[in-house]
Amino acid sequence: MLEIANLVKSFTGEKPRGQKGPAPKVLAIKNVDLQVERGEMFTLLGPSGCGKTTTLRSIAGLEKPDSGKIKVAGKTFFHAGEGVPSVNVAANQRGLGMVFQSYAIWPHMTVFDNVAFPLQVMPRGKGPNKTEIKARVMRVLETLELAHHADRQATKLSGGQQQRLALGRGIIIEPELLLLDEPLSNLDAKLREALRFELKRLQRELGITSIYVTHDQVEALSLSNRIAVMKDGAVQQVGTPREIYGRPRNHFVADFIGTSNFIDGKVVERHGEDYRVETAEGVLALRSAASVPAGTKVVASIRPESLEVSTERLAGENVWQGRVSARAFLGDAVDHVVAVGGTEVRVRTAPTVSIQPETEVFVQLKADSISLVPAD
Amino acid sequence: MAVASWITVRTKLPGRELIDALTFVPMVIPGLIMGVALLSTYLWLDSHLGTGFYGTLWLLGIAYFTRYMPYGMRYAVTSQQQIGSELEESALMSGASWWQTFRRVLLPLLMPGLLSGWIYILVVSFRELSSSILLYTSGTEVLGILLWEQWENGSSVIVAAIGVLMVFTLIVLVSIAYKLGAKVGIQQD
Repeated sequence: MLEIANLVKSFTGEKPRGQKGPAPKVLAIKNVDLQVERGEMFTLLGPSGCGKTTTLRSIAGLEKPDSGKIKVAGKTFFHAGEGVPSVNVAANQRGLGMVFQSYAIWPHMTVFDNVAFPLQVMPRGKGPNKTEIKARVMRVLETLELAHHADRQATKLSGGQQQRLALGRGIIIEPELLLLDEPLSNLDAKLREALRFELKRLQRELGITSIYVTHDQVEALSLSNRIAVMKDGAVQQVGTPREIYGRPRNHFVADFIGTSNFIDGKVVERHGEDYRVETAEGVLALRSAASVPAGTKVVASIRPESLEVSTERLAGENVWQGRVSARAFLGDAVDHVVAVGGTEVRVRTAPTVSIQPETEVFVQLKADSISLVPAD
Repeated sequence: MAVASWITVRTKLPGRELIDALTFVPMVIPGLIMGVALLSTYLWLDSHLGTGFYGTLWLLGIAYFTRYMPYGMRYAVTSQQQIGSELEESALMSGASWWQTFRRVLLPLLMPGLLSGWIYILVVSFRELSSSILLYTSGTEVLGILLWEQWENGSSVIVAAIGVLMVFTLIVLVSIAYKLGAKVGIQQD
C-alpha cells in the first residue's frame, strides 16, 4: 500500500561562526524503509526530533526529500536519486487526507464548509455536484456526531469537536491514505483517552490505511496495528505493539517504550533460544530469538511487571535476594525498588502488595520476559 | 500586496528579501522628491510612449500608491505572519490549487489586516500635500491642495470649513470600513 525506500532528507543547519563555505547539512531522516499494508493503522513513534514528522510530511508532499522513493497504492509520488528520473507529485495532486497537530481548522468557515472544501475544490467535471456534496458532507458529520453543528462557525467548537472536524475533512474524499500528525496532543488527558478509542473504531470501520505520528507510547501501543520506533532519523524497530513492548530489539526501544530494568551481562552458554547470561548478581536463564554467540556482552532488559517479589523464598530459576530500598504507590500499582547487590531493579506489583522498605525480599525474573539487547 | 507579503513570509524564493526591501524604499524618500521623480517619470512616459498620465487623477493615485506602499506592505506582512502555515498546508492537502488556497483561505484570513492597511492609507492620502502639490493641474486639485490654495488666498474661514468636513468624512469612512472589516474577516464573538 505504502512503500518507502531509502528516504533521505536533510535540512540546512546553522553555520558555525567564522566558517566559510556553505552551511552544513543536518540529516533529518536517513535511509528510512517502510512498508505499510492496506487497512493498517501504522504508527511512527519516537522522541521529538527523531524524524517522524519529517517522514510524514514527505509522504504528504509538504517536504521534498533529498533522495529515495515513496509509492502509494501503486503510484510513485516521489523518486529521486542517482540515475533515476526524478518524480515529485505536488501535495495537492496526491489525493491524501491529513490531520494536523493544530487541526488547522479554517476559522472563517462553518463546520460544513470546512469539511466540504476538499470536494468543492475538485477540478470542474471531476467533482461531485452541490446536492451530492451536501449529502456526503452530512454523512461524514453524522458519523463524527457533528451533524447538528454543521452551520456553526468552526472556531465555536470545543477542542475534541475540532479534532473530529479535522478528521472529517481528512476522510471526506475517501483517500487511499490518511496521515495523522499528533492529532491528540492538544487535548487534555481524559479526552485524549476517549478519542483514542473513537479514532481506532473509526479507522477500523472506514478501513482507511492510516499513518499516525506520535511521541506518546501509550497512544502508539493502544492504537496501532504496527509501530515503527524512530530515533535520530533512523527506524529502530518495526513490529506489532506486543513485539515492540515485549521484545525490544535494542536499548533505545526498551527504554523509550515503557519502563525497563537493564542488567549488563555476558552470554556464557547458548542452546538454540535458551541462553545463560552471567551478570554481576548471578547467572540469568532466559529465552530469546536474538542470535548472539557465547562470549558477547549484552544487556538483559526486563519490564517491572514481569518481576515477582515476595518476602518468602520463591521457587524456580532466576531468583535473586535483595532488600527493598524504596516504594511508590501509583494508584493502580505499587513500584518497589529492590537493591540486589550493586544492582537496583524496579518491580511493579498489584496495589494490594506493599512491602516496607529495608525488608529482605526475593525477586524472580521470569525467563520468558527477558529480552537480550546489544550492549552499547 | 497580499501576494508580495505571501512571497516574503512563506516562500524560500531567492530575492524575497529584495521584494520586501524594495517595498520599503518609498518610506525614506521625502514627499517632494517623490513628487519630482514621479512627475519626470510620467512626463517622459507621456511624451515617449504617448500615454496620458499628466493632469489626470490616475497620476495622483499612482503617487499615493507608491508613497504609502510601505505601510500597506507592513500591514500585509504582519497579518501573513499571524496565519499559521498549517492553515495553508491543510488547504493544499485538501487538493486545492495555489490560487484556490489564496482566494478561499488566505485572502479571507488576511482581510482584516489588509483592510486596516487600506483605511490607514486612505486617511493619510486624504491629507497628502507634498507630492500632490507637484502633480496636480487645474481640475485635479485634491483636498490638501484646495486647503493650501485657500490658505494662500487668506480665506481662513474656508480652510476651517474644509478641515471640519475632512475630519467628519474621514470619521465616517473609517467607521464604515471597520464595520465591513468585521463582516469580511473572522467572526468575532
